[in-house]
Amino acid sequence: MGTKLRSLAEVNRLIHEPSRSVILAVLFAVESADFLYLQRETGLTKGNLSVHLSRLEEAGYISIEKTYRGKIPLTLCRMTEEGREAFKDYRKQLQQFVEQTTLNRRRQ
Amino acid sequence: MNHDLKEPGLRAARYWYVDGTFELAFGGLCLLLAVYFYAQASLADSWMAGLLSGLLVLVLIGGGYLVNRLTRALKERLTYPRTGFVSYQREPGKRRGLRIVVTFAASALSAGLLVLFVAGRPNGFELMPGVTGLIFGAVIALIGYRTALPRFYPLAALSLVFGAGLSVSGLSEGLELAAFYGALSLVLFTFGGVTLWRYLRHNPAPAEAPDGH
Repeated sequence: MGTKLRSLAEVNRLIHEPSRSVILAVLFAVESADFLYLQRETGLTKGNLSVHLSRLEEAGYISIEKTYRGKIPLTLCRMTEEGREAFKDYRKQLQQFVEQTTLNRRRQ
Repeated sequence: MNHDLKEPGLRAARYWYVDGTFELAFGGLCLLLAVYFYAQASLADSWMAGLLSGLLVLVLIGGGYLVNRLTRALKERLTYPRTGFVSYQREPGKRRGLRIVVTFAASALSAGLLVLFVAGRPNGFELMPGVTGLIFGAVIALIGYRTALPRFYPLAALSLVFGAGLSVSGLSEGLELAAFYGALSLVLFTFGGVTLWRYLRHNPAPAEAPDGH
């Protein structure tokens, strides 16, 4: 197995979970988003989304701010710098893996 | 669930235009311009004409900001409580500052040239609605292309048709621009209103707090 292929085995497993990678992909594209927007974009249930957001917050990849917009409660999520870097690395690893496998297929 | 890593960015950009509030705000600006050009045509020989020219510079420079603020205000009341709040990424400090300066300078320059052009009424002034229609049409079509929202294409086409039609209409000087902006604002209000109505129908206001906060 090549070094680049081997790097997939060392991929960030916290991000690699499908629901969390989708949450991070959404947050990576914006400055911040609230719970409702994330729920609609990811298609996750409230409970599931809450659990994944907590995991990402514990890892320091996102920050969660509970606030109010007028009288309406608002849970605002944003990606931290650490989270952005980790997600960039994750994307790079995936890209390398895809490139490597495409190259191997062409050689066959 | 969507696993495409590029799509969330496109969807976030599209979210700004998805509910019709942008057209309503943009229509408001066009209505303001229609009233302005009508007033200028009516008061052409009065001392107020100079004052109005100054106002046009302010409206053109602040137009983008005004549309942005109005769209945001409408979204805060109508869109965000229904489908969620999102704030867009800002460019890093230096690049953002440079963009603001360049945008301000370009707006001031084009506004100044437009005021001189409108005041001077040189030969070919009757083509002004056609040129305006072409510029607006191109901008609206670009928005449609970038957001993949097809409703912007007929809007762009109507802008071209209004501009071309009014260029050859033979309306009295100054009124052709008032008619162009008036017609465009009417179409924008109609498109925006219908889109917003459909959006509100498909996304009723939540009965409970969206996140059980």
